[in-house]
Amino acid sequence: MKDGIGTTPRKNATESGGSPSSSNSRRQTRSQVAAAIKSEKENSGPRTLTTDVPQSAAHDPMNRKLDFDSSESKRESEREEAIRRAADPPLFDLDTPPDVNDLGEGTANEQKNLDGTEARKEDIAQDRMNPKSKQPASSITPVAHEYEKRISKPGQYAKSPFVNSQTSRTFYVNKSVDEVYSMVCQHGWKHAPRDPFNKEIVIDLDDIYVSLGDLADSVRPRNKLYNTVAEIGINIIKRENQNPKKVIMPLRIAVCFPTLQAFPGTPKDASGHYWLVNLNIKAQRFEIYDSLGNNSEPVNMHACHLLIAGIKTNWTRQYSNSKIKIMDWPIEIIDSPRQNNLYDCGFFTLKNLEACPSRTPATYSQKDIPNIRKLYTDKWLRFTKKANWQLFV
Amino acid sequence: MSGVTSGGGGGDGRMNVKVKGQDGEEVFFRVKGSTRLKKLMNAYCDHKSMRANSFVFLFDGHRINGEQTPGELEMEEGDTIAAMLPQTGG
Repeated sequence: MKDGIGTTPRKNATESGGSPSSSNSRRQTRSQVAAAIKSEKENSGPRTLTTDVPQSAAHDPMNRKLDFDSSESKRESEREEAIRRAADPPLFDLDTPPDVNDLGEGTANEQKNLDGTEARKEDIAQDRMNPKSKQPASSITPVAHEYEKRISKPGQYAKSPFVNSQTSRTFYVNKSVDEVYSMVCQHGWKHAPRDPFNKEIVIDLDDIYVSLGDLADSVRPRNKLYNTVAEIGINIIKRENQNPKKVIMPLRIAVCFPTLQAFPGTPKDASGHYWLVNLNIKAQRFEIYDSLGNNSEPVNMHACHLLIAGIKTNWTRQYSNSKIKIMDWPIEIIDSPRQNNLYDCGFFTLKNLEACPSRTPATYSQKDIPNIRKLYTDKWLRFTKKANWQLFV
Repeated sequence: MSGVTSGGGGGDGRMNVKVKGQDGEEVFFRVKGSTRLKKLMNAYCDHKSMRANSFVFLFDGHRINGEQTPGELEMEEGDTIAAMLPQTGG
């Protein structure tokens, strides 16, 4: 079903680099960001002061001050701005783990977006008048200004039939889900190695169980999914499956196929990539859903071929009398919503698996993943009702 | 593997079981029916020079708990336990 255990050097590098486990490295990166902003501010400050010519605004490399003349386009951009701000309420923004206090930065960022150029000019003017008045405002750590990109929609014929990128659906998270998730995130082997509750078994399906530490390590923001936890997710999707023609194989089936043997991973950073292979008997083809990689080719085509070859071999061995001959069915790459990082692929795969033989395009994207993590955590924990909550809070 | 008997169900007859890793390598163990499997798991991790609990052990597709015994799981002579690395995926 899944799987690859390819330890490519690129991934290892990113994993060790982007690992959120050590607070030390995080602090360092933040200070780097702050330093970068500071230097940027120093660079752009004098320029905005000296140039009062409107043409200079168009040449601003930050693309921050595009001030169109026509009022129509202005209204348009205002509306888009409002839509964009309404789409992601700050309450559920889980890009950062809950233990990090980002409140000051968030408000600072919003302020910057709201006021735009006028406030900036005023600030500068005020600065010139009396430089000491600005002291309290500058004490807030500034945040990298995201470029205000124009929203570009693909044309009618450039759209993928499988992915609806302009989705308006949001994954709603209510308060209890939020509480459960933040409670889980306080544990974990990486986050709190000496936590006595890490060993506690919180989800116990009959054939697989998972401890609180493993679960927390998997669902925390920016963390990768463990294969034991992925197995839990697959198993629960399998039990909730209503479609009698949809057969979900467990993840550990992949152990039997030669894919894993081709990728002996070291236990320290045995990281791979999750993707989905679907044997579509009606359409007579193998379908591959991969959230990383190119549209035309998945990340690990070699492992795909191995897995599919294994399925074909076992099929001919087990169902030699069947009328369905899958030996020369082609492989089709199905578009999946894209991830823009190297740690969310497990949840993309689970989501793809849930909606696999779908007639409608996929309606989730990268920005929904924090909420999808929360919803899955809550669903898994409530599925068996094994956990004793009073113990962990 | 001279197991310390620690109660539990199952007979006391010794049996040979093998642990098969993902690379296909097999390691044989001789265990009593009433020995806790924690002992076998730790021995296997030692053999592979890994930290304890660095493997996931599966028997008949079920994940083994260290507190269980071969008797409880109804293991027989020559049965295979699969050892899987806990891996992450990104």
